[in-house]
Amino acid sequence: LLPFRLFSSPLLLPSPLSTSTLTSRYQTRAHAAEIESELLALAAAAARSARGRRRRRAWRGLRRGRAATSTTSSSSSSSATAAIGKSCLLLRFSDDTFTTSFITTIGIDFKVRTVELDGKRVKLQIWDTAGQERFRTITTAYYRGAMGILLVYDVTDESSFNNIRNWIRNIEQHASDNVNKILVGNKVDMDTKRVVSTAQGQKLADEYGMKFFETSAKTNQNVEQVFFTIARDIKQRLTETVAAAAEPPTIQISRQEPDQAAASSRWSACCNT
Amino acid sequence: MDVEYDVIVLGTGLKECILSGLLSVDRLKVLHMDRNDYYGGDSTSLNLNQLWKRFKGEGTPPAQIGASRDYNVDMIPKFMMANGTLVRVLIHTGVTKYLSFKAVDGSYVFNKGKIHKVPSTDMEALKSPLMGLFEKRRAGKFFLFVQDYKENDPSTHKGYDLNKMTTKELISKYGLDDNTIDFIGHAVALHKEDNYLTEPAIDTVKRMKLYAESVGRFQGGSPYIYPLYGLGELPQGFARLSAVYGGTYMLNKPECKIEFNDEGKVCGVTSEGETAKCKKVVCDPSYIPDKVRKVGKVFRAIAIMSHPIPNTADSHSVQIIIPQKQLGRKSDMYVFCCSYSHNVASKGKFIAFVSAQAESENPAAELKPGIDLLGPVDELFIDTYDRFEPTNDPSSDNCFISTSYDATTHFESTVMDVLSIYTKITGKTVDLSVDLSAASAAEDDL
Repeated sequence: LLPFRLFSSPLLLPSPLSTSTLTSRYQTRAHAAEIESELLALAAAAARSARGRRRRRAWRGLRRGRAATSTTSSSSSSSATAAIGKSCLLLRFSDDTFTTSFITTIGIDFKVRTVELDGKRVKLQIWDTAGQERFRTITTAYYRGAMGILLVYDVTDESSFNNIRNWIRNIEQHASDNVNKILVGNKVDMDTKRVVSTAQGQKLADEYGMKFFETSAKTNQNVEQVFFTIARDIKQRLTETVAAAAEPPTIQISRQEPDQAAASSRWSACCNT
Repeated sequence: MDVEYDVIVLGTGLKECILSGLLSVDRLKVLHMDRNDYYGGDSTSLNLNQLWKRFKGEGTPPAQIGASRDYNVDMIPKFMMANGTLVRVLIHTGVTKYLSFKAVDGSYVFNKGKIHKVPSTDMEALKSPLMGLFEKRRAGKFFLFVQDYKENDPSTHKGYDLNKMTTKELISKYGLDDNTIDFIGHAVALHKEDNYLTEPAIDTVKRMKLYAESVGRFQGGSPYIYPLYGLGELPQGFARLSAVYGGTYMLNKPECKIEFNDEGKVCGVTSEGETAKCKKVVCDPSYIPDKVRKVGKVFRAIAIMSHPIPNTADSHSVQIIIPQKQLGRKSDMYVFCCSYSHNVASKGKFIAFVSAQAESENPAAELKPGIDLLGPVDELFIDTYDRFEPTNDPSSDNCFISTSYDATTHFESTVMDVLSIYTKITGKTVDLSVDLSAASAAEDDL
C-alpha cells in the first residue's frame, strides 16, 4: 500500500500562446506578422523543421515506453492509479502517438505544435501539469501563464467528473479572469465502462459557460477539434480585446543545454486501457 | 509493496526546490513536502491578504492599495546577478523557460549622507561624484588590472600572487584612498563586512569581475536581473522541473517528523499518521530544530509606497547598499525596491525592503537609516527572523540541512549552499560552465 492516500483528478492543459520562450528574433517576426492577434507565427520552414524533430522525438519516446512497461508492469499493476488520460490527449495532438503503460507520467513538460488557423500559422505551446495535480500542488505560476485551459475528466471515472468543480474554483482563484476554458470527457472508446453520460458533461459545461467535447486519445476521436477550438477561441478573444500597450521587453535566457535537449526527448506516457 | 524514496525534501524554499530539481533530473526518486499550502517556504512571495494575515494578524488590506492578487511580496528580497551562479543554474537546468526577467534599473551606494549611482558605464564613472578626478585615474588603473586578470594566465598577474597577497596590500599598490576602498569593497565586490581587507585578494578580484561581467551582460543600469511576478516564481520553476522528472509534491503537510533508525540514520518522514520511507532527507532548518544552531538574526522592513525611492531617477527597481562604515555598524544595510512594472504590486505601487544583520534588539530603530531613504510610505511592516546553520554530520545521519538566507540583496551565497549540499548527497559537482554570451543569442529550437 502506498503511504499516502491517492485520488483521481482531472488534469489541466493550459495553452499559453505566449512569447516568453522565444528569442527576440522570433518575437520581432511574430509581432510583425501577428500584431493584431498577439499570437505567434513561425515561418513555414521552421514549422516543417520543428515537425520533423518532433517525429523523431516521438519515436524515441515510444521505444522507451515499451521498455518501461515490460520492466515495471508487475509492480505497477498493484499500485496503479486512475489516470484521466490528459497526457495521452496531449501526445495524440502534438505527436500523433498513443501508448499504453501503467507507469506515471514522467518527462512531459510542454509540447509545441504549429497549426494553420484561418489561413495563419499559429504556434501552440501546450503545457502538461507534470503530475502536480495528483496532490493538488499545481503552482500559481502554472495558472498565471495560461491563455486557455482544458479541464479533462474520464467518462469511466465518476470522481474525476465530480472534481471538475474543484478545479474550476482553483482556476477562478489563480488564473486570469478571462482565460478560455473547455470541458473534455476523455476515453469515450471505453463505452461499456462509461459512467458519466454525454448529457451530464454538457450540463456541467453549460453551467460554467464552457464548450464541451468528448474525446478518445486512443482512437483519436475529437482530439484535433478540442485543440483547434480553444486556439481559435483564444485568438478571437485576443482580437476583440483592445491590445494593451506592449510591456517593456523582458530578458530572454533561453539557451538549451545538450543534456536538456537529450532529456527532453526521453518521455513516456500513461493511460489505462 | 511499500515505496521507499531516495530522498525526501522538506520545505519548498528556493534552496530545497533547486535540490529537488537537480536530484530528480539525476533520476532519484524524490518526495517533496511542505507544511504550508503554498510554495516557497521562507523564500515565498505573498499576496496582499497573506501579507496582512502574517504581519497584522487580523483586518483586511485597505482597498486603495489594490487587489490582493496583484501583489507578490518577496519574503527574502534579492536580485539575481546577471552572470552569477543562480543564472547559471537556471540555464543548466532549463528552468529559464518558465520565467521572464527584467534588468534592474540601478545600483546605488550610500556615501556621506547621500546615495550615488554605482557607475555602469565609463561615462557614468567619469561624471560620478564618488571620487575626485585623480582618484578616478588611479581607480581606473585598478579596474583595468582586475578586468584583464585571468587566474590561469600568469602574464596578467603583474607579478602579484593574489592567493597570498591581501586585498589591502593589492589596493595599496594603486594608491587608492579609504573612501574608494570602501566603495569598491562594498558596492562592487559586495562584501558585507570588512574582513576581506586582510584576506587573500583573489576573492575580491573574482567578485569584482563577476560584477563587471554582470553589468555587461544585458546592458542594464546594474549587474542585476529580477523575475516578473517576484522571487516566488523561482522555487515554483524548480519544483516544476522536479515534477517533470517524476518528483512527487505534497503541500499542507503539518508536522513532518523525521524518523531515525537504531543507527541514528534517517529512515523516513511521518505526517498525519503516515510514514514515507527514505534513505536521505533534505530540509530547511525549521524542520529539524535540534540539529541546527542559531547564528544571528535578520531585521527587515517591508514598505508599500506610491512612488519610486527618491534620488534614483524614478527607477522601478534599485538596490542601495549602505556600507557598514557609513553607519558605524559591523555589517552593511541593504535597500531593495521593485514595482508594478515587475507585476509584484498594483498599478502605481512600489515595494521596498530594508534588510540588515541584526546588531541590536530594536529593528525599527536599527533600520531607520534605510527607511529614511524611502520617502513617504503607505504601509510599513517589520519582520525579524533568526538564522540557523546545521550542526549535524550528514555522512552519519543522512540529513542534509540548508543554512538560512542572509540579508544580502543577491543570491550568490544561496547557490553556493545548494551546490555544496548537492555534492554531499551525490558525490558529484554540477558543471555550470555555460557559454553565457551564447545563451542570450541562442535560437529557441522548439
